[in-house]
Amino acid sequence: MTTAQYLEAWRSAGVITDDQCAALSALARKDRFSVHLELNALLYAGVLAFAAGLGWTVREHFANLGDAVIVFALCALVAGSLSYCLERAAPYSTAQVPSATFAFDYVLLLGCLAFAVALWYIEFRFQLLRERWDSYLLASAGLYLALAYRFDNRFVLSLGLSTLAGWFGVRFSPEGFFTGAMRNVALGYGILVAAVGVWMHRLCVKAHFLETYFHVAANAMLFALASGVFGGDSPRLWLLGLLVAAAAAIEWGIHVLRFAFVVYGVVYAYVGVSREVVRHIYLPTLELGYFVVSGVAAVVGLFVMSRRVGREE
Amino acid sequence: MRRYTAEDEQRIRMQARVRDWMRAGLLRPEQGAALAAELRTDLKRTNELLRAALALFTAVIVLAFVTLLFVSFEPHATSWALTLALVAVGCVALAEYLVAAFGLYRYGVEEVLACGSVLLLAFSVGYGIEATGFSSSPRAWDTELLLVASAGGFAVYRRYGLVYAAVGAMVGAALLPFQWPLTDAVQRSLATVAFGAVFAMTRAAHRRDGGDFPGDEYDNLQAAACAGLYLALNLHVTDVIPAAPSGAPPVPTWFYWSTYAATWLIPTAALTVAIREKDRALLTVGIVLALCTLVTNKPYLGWTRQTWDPMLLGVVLIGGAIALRRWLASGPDGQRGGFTPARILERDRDILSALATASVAWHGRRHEPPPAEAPGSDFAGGRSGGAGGGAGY
Repeated sequence: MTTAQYLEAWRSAGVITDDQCAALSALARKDRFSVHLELNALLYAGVLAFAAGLGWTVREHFANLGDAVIVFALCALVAGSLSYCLERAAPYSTAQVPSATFAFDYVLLLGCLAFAVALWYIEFRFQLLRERWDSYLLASAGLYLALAYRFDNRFVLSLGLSTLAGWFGVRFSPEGFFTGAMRNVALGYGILVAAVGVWMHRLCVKAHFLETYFHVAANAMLFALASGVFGGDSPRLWLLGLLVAAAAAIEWGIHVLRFAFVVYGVVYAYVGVSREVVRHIYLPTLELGYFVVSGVAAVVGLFVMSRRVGREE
Repeated sequence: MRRYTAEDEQRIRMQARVRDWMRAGLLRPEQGAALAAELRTDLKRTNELLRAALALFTAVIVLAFVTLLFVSFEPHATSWALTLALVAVGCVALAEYLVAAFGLYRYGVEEVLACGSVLLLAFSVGYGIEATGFSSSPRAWDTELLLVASAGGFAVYRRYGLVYAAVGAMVGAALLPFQWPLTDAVQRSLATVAFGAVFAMTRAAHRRDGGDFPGDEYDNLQAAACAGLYLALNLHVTDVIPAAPSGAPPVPTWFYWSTYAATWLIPTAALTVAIREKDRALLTVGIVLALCTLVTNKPYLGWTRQTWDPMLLGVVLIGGAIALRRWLASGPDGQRGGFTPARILERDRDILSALATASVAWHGRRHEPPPAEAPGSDFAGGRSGGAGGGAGY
């Protein structure tokens, strides 16, 4: 049966109304075809390309352009973006607020990215803070987070969280995570982000941001804990922490049916446990046998869990 | 040949549509529940992320098991060929059993077993040929590997309906000419013929079957073939990939400029067809290919890239998106020719939310400290500065 035949059968059986049948048939026949996603994707790609080119141009051509021109242009771009958003934004609400215009979210993102370029340039040229340049990161993270809450913008929230991670010194690269100092920093960052997310959620301030906080926090914490199992001073202690955090992620993921967290928990815990087990196995055949057996256990466990809570049918 | 019945396949697609319509408020929850019950099948499916995790762990099992056999047996081509063939057969048998016994459908496990069996079989045949002494050159090895993998991928698609297996088969077939001692132009021409043939076949099938099963599969394959066609012909596409070798391969001038024309014609044709037929897969591919053409245009013409090129591209994209949105929204009922900039399904919102969250990963690269030694500022007395950063350069 085709979609049209299904709709007609449901209409005849009285399961759907004539109006619903007409509306759904129009969608199925593509009489009405939304390009909302494509337009948003183009806009987002455009903003990222523009910001990347802006930074590159400023870096390469500052001598020809001159400080005054660059600083003025960047400030004008930031001010223009912010004034556009302030003029059109709906009054602040702690609940989710739809974008005022189609380009609204992206104009704000562009302004924030231009602000980042401006700060970088000011420090590059005038060296106001020198070795304390990372204070810019903290200040800009604060600004981005404030703007994300004011204008209900998840892109800017993500920018704020990644800038905050930069201030903490967290780099999303495996080389960085496997050193001791970075591990503790990442753990602290993850705990802070999770705590702020929970706190704001409890205050009912932009509660829909919670998932973004948790994605960032879960990856930072689990990655840090897993790296502790690989290179930490007390691997078993790190493993214990990893298992506790992974269990929490899995439990929350199942509870709210957000399976990304289940996957984070299972994969990071598997990596950590495997590292600790393999550390004590000296025969390659036993090592490989472990991966076969543990892989089967993971598949069976995930399968059972998916039948209980992760059904799609 | 197909492991699942056409009716089940169509029901599964209808379930997804009903879910989308219910979330969009086009159906009431009780209607959605009633229709979902009517569309129920015996097939078992799971969440996409759990599917990915199951696929990952199944791959770990297969890889560890095969490696275990390798370290256990003597390193001899014949024994490896036999072992791999047996494991391949075992994987297919297990996939068949899981589908038959548990009714798995896109569950990750049976997919990896089926696709893994193809790779194992390809390596098995390779070692088999090596053992017989028929040929041991790396080029013959790669040719055989691609041939078997391509045929196997197609078989897996026919059996389980895994579109990515068909895409893999198509890519494998198109890569075959690159293993033969031919010029770059001939290799690319043959790859283009392969992708073109797949495009023609899948397009015909898609036009015959429409958007319902199996037409939706042909639709995706058609878009993938179109992308392959473009990538085979764009000689500068690696220029946009960091760390990839840049510059065009040595080809005759006429071929070079023909491919340049093709890089403009293919996205134009794809977008034209996609807009005329409201084909989302082809539309997405057409947009991405058009962006590729814009990015590779300067290298093609031998022009120097400028730092402001990304800014210009950004302005074009932003301006184009806003203008298009305004034009569509200003039409009767906020649409033109059936195209609307409004969001209809909640799925679009989910995708944008996921994109926003994932953007943490690439924004994280922006926080590098400025260089310690900066040239003098023109705010600080004169435009000539240190570190070679004076106004004159």
